[in-house]
Amino acid sequence: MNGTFFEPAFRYVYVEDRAAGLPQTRRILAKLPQAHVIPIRHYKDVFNRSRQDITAQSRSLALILADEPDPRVYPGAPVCQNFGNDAFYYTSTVMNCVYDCEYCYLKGMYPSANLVIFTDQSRTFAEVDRLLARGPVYLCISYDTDLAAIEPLTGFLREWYAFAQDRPGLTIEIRTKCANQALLSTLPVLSDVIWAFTLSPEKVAQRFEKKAPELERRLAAARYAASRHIPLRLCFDPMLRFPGWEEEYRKLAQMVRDELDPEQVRDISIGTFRISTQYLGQMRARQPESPLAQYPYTVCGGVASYGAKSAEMTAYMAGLLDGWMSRDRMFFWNEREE
Amino acid sequence: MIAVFTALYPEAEPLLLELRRRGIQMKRLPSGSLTAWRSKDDRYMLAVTGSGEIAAAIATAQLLTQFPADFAVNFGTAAGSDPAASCFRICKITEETTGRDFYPGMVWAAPFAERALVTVPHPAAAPAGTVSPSLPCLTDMEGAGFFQAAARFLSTDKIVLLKAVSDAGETAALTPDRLRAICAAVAAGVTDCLTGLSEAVDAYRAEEETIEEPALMAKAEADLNGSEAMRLRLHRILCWQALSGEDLRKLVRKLYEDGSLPAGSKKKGKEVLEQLERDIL
Ligand code: SF4
Repeated sequence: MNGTFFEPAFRYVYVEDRAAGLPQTRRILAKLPQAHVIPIRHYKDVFNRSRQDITAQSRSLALILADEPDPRVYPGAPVCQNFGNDAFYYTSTVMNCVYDCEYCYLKGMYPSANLVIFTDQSRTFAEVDRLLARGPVYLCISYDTDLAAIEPLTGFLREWYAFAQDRPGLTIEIRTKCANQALLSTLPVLSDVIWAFTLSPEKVAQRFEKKAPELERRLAAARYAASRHIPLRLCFDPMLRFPGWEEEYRKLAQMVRDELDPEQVRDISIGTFRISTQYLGQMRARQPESPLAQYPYTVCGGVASYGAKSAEMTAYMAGLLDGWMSRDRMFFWNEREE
Repeated sequence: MIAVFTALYPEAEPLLLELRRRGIQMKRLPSGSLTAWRSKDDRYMLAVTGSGEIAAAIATAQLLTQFPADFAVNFGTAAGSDPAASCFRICKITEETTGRDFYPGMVWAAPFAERALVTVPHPAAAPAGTVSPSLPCLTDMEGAGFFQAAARFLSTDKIVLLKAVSDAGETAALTPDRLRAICAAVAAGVTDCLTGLSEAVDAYRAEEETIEEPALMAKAEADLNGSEAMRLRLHRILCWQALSGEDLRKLVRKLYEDGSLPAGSKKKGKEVLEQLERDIL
């Protein structure tokens, strides 16, 4: 569809009254000189409006800059992989994602596609310090978003690096599909800050991850990270089931084997698509034309997944990587972890 | 369909003339409680609501109940300190009587600068000032009522408000001729915006992938002879096949050829479903 029907992304920035005076808010606004600022009382006045057209919004994202009095740190959800860490938390200082993957649970979770940025991370940092006082913390900071993709706008990763620098016991995971090597080149290398690149077969990336960098570029970024000795994780998650999936994942595994040195990869994560039934219902209503949304999933304990086929798929992927990486460095999500 | 609402006839008339000038024939609806026109090709409707929030809300709800629309557009005049006959798109509406704010979606491109709007219950004696240094305010008597009614029927992203500045609060000088002249001055730009929205609707529809052969699917689902849950499961399998680019016709034909369908009983239907899942999922 012709892009001229839509306003360009971030043409409109809604700014919460209490966030307006924050230096972090002003810093972000300074990077968007063309944007039109609309003052609002509370981010939910815009973000939680009923009957929003998420599909149209995703073609013309608006930005909402907000301030949240409570820290945005949460215990990890059961559908997430914890990599063997008990104190597993995630932060949500940004809601929604510029990449707009078709299978993303965010489409079922939020009433809007617009991006909310809680501009002041200081309360979140303070909360992480409180958790660290109790013991080691494993923290996913790029959770309901892809933080690396919007780093030029937010500078949040840089803030996290500064925070993590002298926090022993804190392990951070930055999950991403971003292929910005320039960003990787300017951030320090910290042994407890892991970059986790999500890799999908080319066909999946083209069809379901249209706004994310293509596989080649993600692999190149992962290679570059490895060359800088940045702790590196490869995520084959979510694996999707579609006609011919085996061949596509075989090609992906081959590319990984050809292009990356396993000694430079800390570990890998394998998991199949799963989503809460509540979010799936929303996705089906909002994306009636999506094969992913319409797939007849198996429902168990409020989670829709490929059911018994999940184990078959993860085993297949692990088999493709056997001999390249040892099983003790492979982490799996499967039905049993629910 | 793009449904356009104005408070007064002098605000609607220039739009009617502009649409006609562009070859879009607007036909008056049979007389009823609503003064409204509809284009022959069903792309546009134009209705006069009467002035005030309640009148605007009632007419908007009435028309949208009868005629489902893709977009609802409120066009009219408003008081403001901008030059007369300048036209703006509204990005924030405040209902003065309740203090509530409303936000029309700003997704669709429109060739107008933005203003906030305060909807008041009486003709404005003075413009409302500014919401922020970068966002001056206009004042009208319908916007909030129109928005609340339209939001019952449409996504807030499909609600657009366009306001032409009529005066800076000197309401006594606002004769019907003056309103007509102001709206005529902006009618071409507003009509460009309406046709843009109409083209967007066409493009949006054309882009939606449609599942082939709904009748074929419905027949197969009925012939499964199963429960509603089984029917839905088969429906999803067939949808997934069609949307994944598989040949649905071939798949369904095979089910009939190998005797799987029609399933003579619920038990047989269940077996067919399980076999299908084993084979293709
Ligand atoms: S990159 Fe991740 S968070 Fe962003 S849309 Fe895709 S799946 Fe969702």
